[in-house]
Amino acid sequence: MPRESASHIPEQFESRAQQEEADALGIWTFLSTEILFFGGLILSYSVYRVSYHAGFAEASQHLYFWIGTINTFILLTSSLCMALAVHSIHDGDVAKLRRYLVLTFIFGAAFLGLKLCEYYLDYREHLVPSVNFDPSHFLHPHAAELFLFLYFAMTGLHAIHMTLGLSALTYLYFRARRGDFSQEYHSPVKVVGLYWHFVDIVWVFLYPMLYLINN
Amino acid sequence: MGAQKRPERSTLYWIYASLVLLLILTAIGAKLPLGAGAHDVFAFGISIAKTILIVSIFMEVRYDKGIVRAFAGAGLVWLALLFLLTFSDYLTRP
Amino acid sequence: MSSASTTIEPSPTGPPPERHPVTPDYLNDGYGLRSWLTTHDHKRIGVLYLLSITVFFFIGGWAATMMRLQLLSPHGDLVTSETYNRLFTLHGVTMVWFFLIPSVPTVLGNFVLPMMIGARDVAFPRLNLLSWYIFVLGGIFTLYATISGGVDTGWTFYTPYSTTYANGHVIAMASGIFITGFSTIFTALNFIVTTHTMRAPGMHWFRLPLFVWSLYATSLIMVLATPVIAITLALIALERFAGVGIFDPRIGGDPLLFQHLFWFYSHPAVYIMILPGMGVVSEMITCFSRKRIFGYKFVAYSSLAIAVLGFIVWGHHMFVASQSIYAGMIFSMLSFLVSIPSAIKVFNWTATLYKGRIHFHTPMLYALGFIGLFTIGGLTGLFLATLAVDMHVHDTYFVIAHFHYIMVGGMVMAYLGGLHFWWPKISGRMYNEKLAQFSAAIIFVGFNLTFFPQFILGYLGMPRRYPYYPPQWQVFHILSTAGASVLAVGYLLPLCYLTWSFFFGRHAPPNPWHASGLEWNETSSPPIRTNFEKLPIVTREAYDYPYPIQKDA
Repeated sequence: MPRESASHIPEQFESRAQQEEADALGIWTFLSTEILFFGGLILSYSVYRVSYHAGFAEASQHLYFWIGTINTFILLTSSLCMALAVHSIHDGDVAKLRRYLVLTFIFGAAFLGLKLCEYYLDYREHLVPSVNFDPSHFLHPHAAELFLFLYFAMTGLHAIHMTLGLSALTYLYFRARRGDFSQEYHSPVKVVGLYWHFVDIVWVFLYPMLYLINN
Repeated sequence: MGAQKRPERSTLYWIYASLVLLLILTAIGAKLPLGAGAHDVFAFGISIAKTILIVSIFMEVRYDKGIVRAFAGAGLVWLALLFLLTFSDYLTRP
Repeated sequence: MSSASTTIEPSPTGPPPERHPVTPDYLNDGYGLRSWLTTHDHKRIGVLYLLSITVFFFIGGWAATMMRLQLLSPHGDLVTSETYNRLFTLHGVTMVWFFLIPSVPTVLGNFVLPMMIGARDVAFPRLNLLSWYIFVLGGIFTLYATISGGVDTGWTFYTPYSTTYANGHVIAMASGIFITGFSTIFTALNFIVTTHTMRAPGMHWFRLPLFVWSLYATSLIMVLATPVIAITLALIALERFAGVGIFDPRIGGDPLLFQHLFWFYSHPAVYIMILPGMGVVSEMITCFSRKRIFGYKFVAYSSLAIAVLGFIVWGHHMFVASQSIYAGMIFSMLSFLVSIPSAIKVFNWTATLYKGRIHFHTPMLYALGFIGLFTIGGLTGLFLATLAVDMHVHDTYFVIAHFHYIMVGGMVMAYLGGLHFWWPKISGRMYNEKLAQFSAAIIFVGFNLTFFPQFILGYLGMPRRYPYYPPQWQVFHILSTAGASVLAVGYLLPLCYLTWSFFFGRHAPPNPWHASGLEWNETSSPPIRTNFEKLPIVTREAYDYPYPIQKDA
C-alpha cells in the first residue's frame, strides 16, 4: 500500500480536505481523552488539597522551586519552537521545519533531563514514598506522603507523555527529511503540534499545583 | 488547516513573551504574602490565562471551525462535571 | 436493487446471485491468516472481533455456570468461598469489558457503520486494526491473571481491599483492563470522526439510521469516561506495587475517592453497553413492522440525552457507602431523570409497532424480547434509585436481577438480534429460520427462569457475592439454576447453526429483508472490500418504508 505522502490520499478519503478535517477532529478527540486521563489525578489532588491544606503546603516547600520554574520556562520555549515548526511548513519551508523540530526536541529533552536530576535530588532528600520517605521531616507526615505520591504520579505521567512526544518529533523529523511534507500536505505536523502544546498545558497547571502552594 | 487563517510569525513571538511574563508573575506571586485563598485564585487564574493563549494561538483554535472548537471544549466540560459532583460529596460531609 | 419477490422471505435456493465478475467480496479478497491479520477492512476487523468476543462470552458464561451450580444447595461445596470470589470476579470482568462493551460497537458497528453512512471504510482503518490488537493484548493479560489463580475483589476492585489486602493477581488484571480501555477509545474516536466527516453526499445528520446515532452517542461516552477508569486502575496498581497510595486510610487516604473515580466511568459504561443495543432495536423494529420509526428526532436526541445524563448519576452506586446524604439526594434525583430518555425510546418503538405490518422473523423476536425485558429492568432501576428502598436492596440479588434484565434480557438479545439481522450481509448466507426462532424462544424462557427468582431473592434479603444462603431460599436458586441451563442451550444453538450456515447455508440475496438503508440497497451480500461500486448519493429519508411489496408474507 503506498504510504501517505504529499501526493497520495488514502483510499477511504475522497479529498485532501476531508482527510485534514478527519485528522483535526481525531486529534482533538484524543486530547479530550487526555484531559479526562490527567483529570482523574487532578481531582484526587484537589480533594486532598482541600482536606489537608496545611500538610500540602508544607510538603510543597520541600520541592525544588527553581528546577520547576526553569523547567516551565524550557517547556514554554519548546512550545514556541513547535508553533514555529508548524508555521514554517505552512509556508512550505521544509528546511526551517526540520530546524524547529530539532529545537523543540532539544528543549523537550532538556526538560526531561532536568526532571531526572530533580528526581534524584528528591530521592536524596528522602521524599520518595515507599522507597525512602522519611516522615520525621514533616509536621504533617501523612499529608506529605499523599502529596508526594501525587507529585511523583503526576509528574511521572507527564514525563511519559513527554517521552512519547519526543518519539513523535523524531518520527516527524525523519518523514520531513524524506520529503513527505509540503505546503499542501503537512497534517501529521499539525497533529503532533497539538499534542505537544497539550502536554505543555498540563505542565502549566502542574507547576503551580505542586511547586507554588503557599501557607 | 489548509487555506484557513493562521497566526503571523510575530504573533507567535508576542504570545511567547506574554507566557514568560506570566510565568515570572506566578513565580513572584508565590513568594509574596497574599492570603492562602487569594493565592490559589492568583496562581490558578494565571494558569488559565496561559492556557487560553496556548490554545487559541499556538493550537490555532481561534482560527478553527466551530465543530473543532466544540471538540476542544468538550473534555473540559466533562472534567468540570467530574469535579462538581465529586465535591458535592466532599463539601457536604459532616 | 431490491429483488422482485413479493414476500419478505429470502429468495429460493439456487446458485449464488450474480456478482461483478472482477471484484471479489470482502471474504474472498485475499486468503490466508496473514491477509486477515493485516487487514485494513472494517468488515474483516468486525469479524475478528466477533470471534474474539465469542471466546470471552463463553469464558464468562462458564464462570456463571460454576456459580449457579454452587448455588444449587445452601451449603454447596462445589467450590471454596475463595474460589467463588474469583469466579464472580472473572464473570464480571470478562462479561463487562470483554463482551458487553465491545459486542455491538466492534462487531456490528465496525461492520455496518461505514456502509450505513455511505463510506468505503472508517476514517482511520489502521487505527481500527490496532484497536483489535490492543483488545487481544488486554485479553491475554486478563487470561493470564485468571489462569495464574485469578482475582477475588469483584469486578469493582474496591479499595482498600484491592490495594492492600487482596491476594491475587490484581495488577495483571487491572493492566489487562487498562490496555483494553485504549481499544475502546480508539474505536470510539474512529466512529466519531467517521460519522462527522465521511457521510456520503445527501446523508444529512437527520437522514442517518438511528443505529448510527446510538453508536455516535456511545462513542462520546467511551471517549469521555474510559480515561478515568484507566487512571484509576493505574492508581490502584501503583498503590499495590508501592505499598502506599492515595486510597490508603492509614495515611489519610479516602477509599471513597476510589469509588467516585470508579463509578464516574462505570456508570456511563452501562450506557456504553446498552445504547448500541437500542440502536439495533430501532433498525429491527422498523424493518419488521414495515414502518418508519415514530418520532425519529426524539429517538435520536434521546441517545444523546442518555449519553450526557448518564455521566451525572454515578453516586447512586454509593448511597450506603458513607457519601454525603446531600450528594445522595442529588444523585437520586438525577437518576430518575436519566430514565426519561430511555422511556421515550420504549414509547416510540411501541408506537412504531402500532398499525405496522409485523413479521415475526428471528431479529424481530429478539427486538420484542428486548423491549419487554429492558422495560422491566429499567423500572427496577427506579426502585434502586430511591434512597429509602436502596437501603434495603443494595448489594442484594435485587441489584443483580436488575442489571441482568437490562444486560442479558436487553443487551445480549439486541446483540443476537443484530447478529441475525445482518448475518446475510456479514456471511453472505442465510441461517435456518425455524431453528433460529426456536432458539430465541428458548433464550427468552431460560432467561426469565434464571433471573426473575433473583428479584424475589433480593427482596427477601439474599446478599450478592455469597456462595451460601439460608435453606429456605433454595427453591429460588434451583429455579434460577434450571433457567441457566436452558439459557446455556439457547446460547449454544446459535453458535452451532450460525457457524454451520457460514459454510453450508443458502446464499443470501443483497436484501433478504427488503430493509431500508444503504447497507442493504447499495451493497452485495457479502459486500466487496470497498463496499460500493460507486459511492451513493442519498436522496431518501431514513426508514423509507413501506417498500413496494405486492403481497403480504
